[in-house]
Amino acid sequence: MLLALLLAGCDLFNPDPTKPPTNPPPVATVPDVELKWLPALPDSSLKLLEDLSGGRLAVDPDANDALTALAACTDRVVYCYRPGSLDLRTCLEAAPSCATDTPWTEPEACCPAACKTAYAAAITAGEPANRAFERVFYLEPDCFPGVRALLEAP
Amino acid sequence: MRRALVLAALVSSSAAYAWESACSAYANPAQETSMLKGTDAPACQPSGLDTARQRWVGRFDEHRQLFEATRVLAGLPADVSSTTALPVFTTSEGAAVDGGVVATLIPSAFDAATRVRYRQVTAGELSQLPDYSYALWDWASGHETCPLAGASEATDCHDFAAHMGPVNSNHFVPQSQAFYAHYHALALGRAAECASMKAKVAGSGGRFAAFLRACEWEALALEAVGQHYLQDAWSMGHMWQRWGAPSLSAFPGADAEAQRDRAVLVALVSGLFHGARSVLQALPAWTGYDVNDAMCAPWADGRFMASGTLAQGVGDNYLQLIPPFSVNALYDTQSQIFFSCAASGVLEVYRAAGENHGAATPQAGLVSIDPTSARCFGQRATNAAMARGAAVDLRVAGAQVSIPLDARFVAKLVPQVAKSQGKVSVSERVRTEFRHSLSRFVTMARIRAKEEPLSTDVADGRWGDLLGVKPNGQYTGLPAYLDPPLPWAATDANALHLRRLFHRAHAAEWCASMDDAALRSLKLHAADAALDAEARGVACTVCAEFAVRHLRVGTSVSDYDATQEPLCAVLVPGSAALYQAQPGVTDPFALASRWCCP
Repeated sequence: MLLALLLAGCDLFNPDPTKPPTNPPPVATVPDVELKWLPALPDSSLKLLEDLSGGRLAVDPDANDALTALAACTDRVVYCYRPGSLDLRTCLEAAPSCATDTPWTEPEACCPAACKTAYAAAITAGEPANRAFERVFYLEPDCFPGVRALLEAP
Repeated sequence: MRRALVLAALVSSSAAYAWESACSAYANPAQETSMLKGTDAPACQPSGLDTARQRWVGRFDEHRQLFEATRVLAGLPADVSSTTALPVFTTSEGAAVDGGVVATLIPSAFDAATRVRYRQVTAGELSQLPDYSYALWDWASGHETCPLAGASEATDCHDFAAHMGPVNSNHFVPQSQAFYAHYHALALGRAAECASMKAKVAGSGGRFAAFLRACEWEALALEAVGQHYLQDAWSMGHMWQRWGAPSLSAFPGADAEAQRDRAVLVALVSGLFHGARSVLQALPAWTGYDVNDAMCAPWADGRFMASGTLAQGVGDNYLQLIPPFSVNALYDTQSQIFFSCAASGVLEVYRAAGENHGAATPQAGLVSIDPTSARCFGQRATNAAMARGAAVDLRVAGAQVSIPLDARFVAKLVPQVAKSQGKVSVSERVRTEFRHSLSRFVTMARIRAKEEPLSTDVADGRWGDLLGVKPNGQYTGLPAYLDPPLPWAATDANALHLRRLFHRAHAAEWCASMDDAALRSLKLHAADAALDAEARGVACTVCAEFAVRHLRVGTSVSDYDATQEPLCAVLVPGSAALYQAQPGVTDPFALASRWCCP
């Protein structure tokens, strides 16, 4: 089943309600993470993706932490992104802002306001949009609660 | 690695990330390939011991088929593709490998040989070698040792999924270019020796034609090994900088085990981008599905750029879609450039060797290209193709299903590696790094596919590492396990395996090194009363094989049949000479046999 997400925020794109919006409201269809075809790993809650003698890739359907939350945020932006019409900044701004410091506990995908601010600052400073996106969310992910702590955990 | 790294029941022996290779256990492996292809045979066991002892022929021997099509295009005689039975002079001792014992295939010193075993093979089969062996010397020595530093046991060492796959970044561009260039240089170097031999024996009335053909066959065998890398470079799933290096020591990690773990995880991910049909089709729940997984499977956005030309491509498991295996204009560019590169390489070697199997008659229209050049290795998957690769694709009951490997999906992954107790999850720290690293990559790949779908920066490795492992273009240099560069030193143990197996090809070297004492040693060995009957027969055969190369029919330097100068006298003037005469016997081989075993 596809989950159609309407990225709300007409006000965001039209700060002056007396004028027509300059950009259409971004709409993205973000598919559900597709796990139903994957076989179950015996004696486990995991699903199996790939299995070779040297190793395997399983999937934890219940995984839920700062990295899954980060991924939900960036996927929301990437699925929205339409070069030439919907840029990364627009899509990021359109994503719901996280309401807590634990985005993985929130009911829907969200992006922290701090990340939106950091990304906007990078674009304003002239950093290429895609490189800025990579840096803010993945290379220097300090704006996203819990990510650095996970990465630096012993 | 530990013996417990047994192959998962899920995995077929064809779980190789390259054009497919095949190994089958035929009841009569001496048959010609055309006969074998029509015979059902079980797949080889994935251990190296079995793959070194069987024919590399089967339904999905795509590399061999590519070599054969290349040979036809280059116009090499069909005889080049005949099954050769290479006699290996070895010992009766079993080789202890991983707790078991097998009959050794390691060529022994000639004056210690007590058994002869035959390696039935065609040159084309050896184009599959990099999927089964680390080098030609590794195959020549029966996969009885582990050439890969950081992996200890020969069986697991040659298991594709356990070890060979994790270090097969050299099957992807641009690393593959250096590996092809290495083997092409070896082939040309040996071919030059063949030409030299041919010039020296030109006045011998064809008596040494078998040596010339053996020499040429060795050169073609080396070219065939190299062609594997060239062939892979033209598989859609290989047209990108898969992360990694061909040596475990190049991977980050505190110790060999940690390095191997990262190599395994990177290989698992690389396989998904490459296209995982051969692996995923084997999943028990998926055997009824058609896993048409990009990038190797045919997809509209499965395209690559080659010298400024945008073209459609397919890869492993889909060889039959491209010309000349089918008439399909969609893949004309892929086919034309690849076969021009491949045929140019084979033809260059064959001509350099002297065309000893017959004159080459290349097909009309063959375009000559430097096979080591960027024209043959510069192709790259488009960003759109890479993004297509970031998914698992399958058809279920006629409906196409694509499971995107987007950031959310990969953030849920639980990577596991094989340990003595089975497959276990990696440490939480490595798992976190893995998920984060892969999330970053798939995110940027999908962004770039939207921005510039026909650019190739994702395939060019410009979006960085995975798990601290860099794109393969950043690892240069050839691993120590590779076949050594020429000239092959007599003291190089790996080269010695090859010089012994291809002893006729290396006749000049053996002529130079085999002095009177060495010849006597062969004779003494054949007379050793301690040998069993089979061993004595082998010792006699070996002795005659070499003695005849030195044997002059006559009694002394001033009294012999100068019209039958032996091979060594022609190749290496001044080499040891053996004088034998028997009334009524003029055949040098008969005289050599009688000298060895009266």
